[in-house]
Amino acid sequence: MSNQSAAASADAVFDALGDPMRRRIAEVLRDGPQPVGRIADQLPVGRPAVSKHLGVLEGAGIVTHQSVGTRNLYALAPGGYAAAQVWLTENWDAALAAFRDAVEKGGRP
Amino acid sequence: MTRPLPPIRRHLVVQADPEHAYRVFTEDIGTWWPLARFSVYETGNTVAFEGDEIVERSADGRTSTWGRVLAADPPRGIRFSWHPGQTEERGAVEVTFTPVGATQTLVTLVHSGWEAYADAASAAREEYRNGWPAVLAGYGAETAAGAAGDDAVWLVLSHAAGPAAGADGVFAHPLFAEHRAFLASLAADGVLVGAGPLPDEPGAGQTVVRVPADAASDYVSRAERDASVSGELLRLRVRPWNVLLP
Repeated sequence: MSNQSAAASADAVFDALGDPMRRRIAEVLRDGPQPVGRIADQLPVGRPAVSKHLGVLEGAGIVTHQSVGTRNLYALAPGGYAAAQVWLTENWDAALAAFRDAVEKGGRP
Repeated sequence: MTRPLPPIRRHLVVQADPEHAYRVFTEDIGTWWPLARFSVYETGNTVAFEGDEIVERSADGRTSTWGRVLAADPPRGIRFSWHPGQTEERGAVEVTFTPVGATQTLVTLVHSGWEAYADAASAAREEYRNGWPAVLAGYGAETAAGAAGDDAVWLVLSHAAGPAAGADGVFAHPLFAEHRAFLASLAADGVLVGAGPLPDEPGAGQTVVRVPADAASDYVSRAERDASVSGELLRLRVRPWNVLLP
């Protein structure tokens, strides 16, 4: 179940994904691990901006990086969306539980 | 093209027919939606399906469109875009209503594209941070009325490999022991008809149970709480099965 730290991690994930460019970067990374340059090639912003966004995504646990030779490869972190997903799932569960109460209250005898 | 994240998928069984469940979900959404927990505006607000839009209205007359109905097929299901607090139409929610026996309904909610959801969440999470009890109130509150019309109902639990299944596959994963324990608990209850892998798809399997009608809701929620499902090793789809023969 939820607790303060789960809420805090969900906050970080949603804060990070609140920026459209960071969402685009996360989408680009779904194709697999990539260096900064290749990520930037697919977006209308330069490498420095992409690096900065990657830093925020990494801080929220959505992205990790690995040094391969002289360059860094960025990838989606396993379970990086987990906090956000847990948060949303809990909201749906609360909504559906309230829905069930409403259905059954007015329902059969 | 990029691969989408797997959707959020929730199941529950309600003690009502699909017509009534569909009506409450759509026409009566304002009576049950937990606005205090999840909304764009502060107190005094309302939410309703207005035409083909889901609209929240604040006490001082502001409006926020949460989504737009993309397809409606009452009482079988409804599909709508879902972006509270955002203008971009990205996520989508599909809710289906399937009869379970004669008197109950399986409600399945699938939320796809949820990763594009950030702004909506930030509107609601203040409440969350302020300590709104994240209590799944209904989960413990099974109605005692029961479903006297049916003796037993059959459910098919379809499992497929989820995002947590690594290169070693579903069956080698430590969480798979939790799935075995879940199946053993079904067998111990005497409701398990059959369970096992579907070898045409790596990691997939199927379980058939025959449960007392008034316990269907409980078994569906147990299938969701199976740690291999909540831990994303397996993705669950519940399907009622109208067994006619033998």
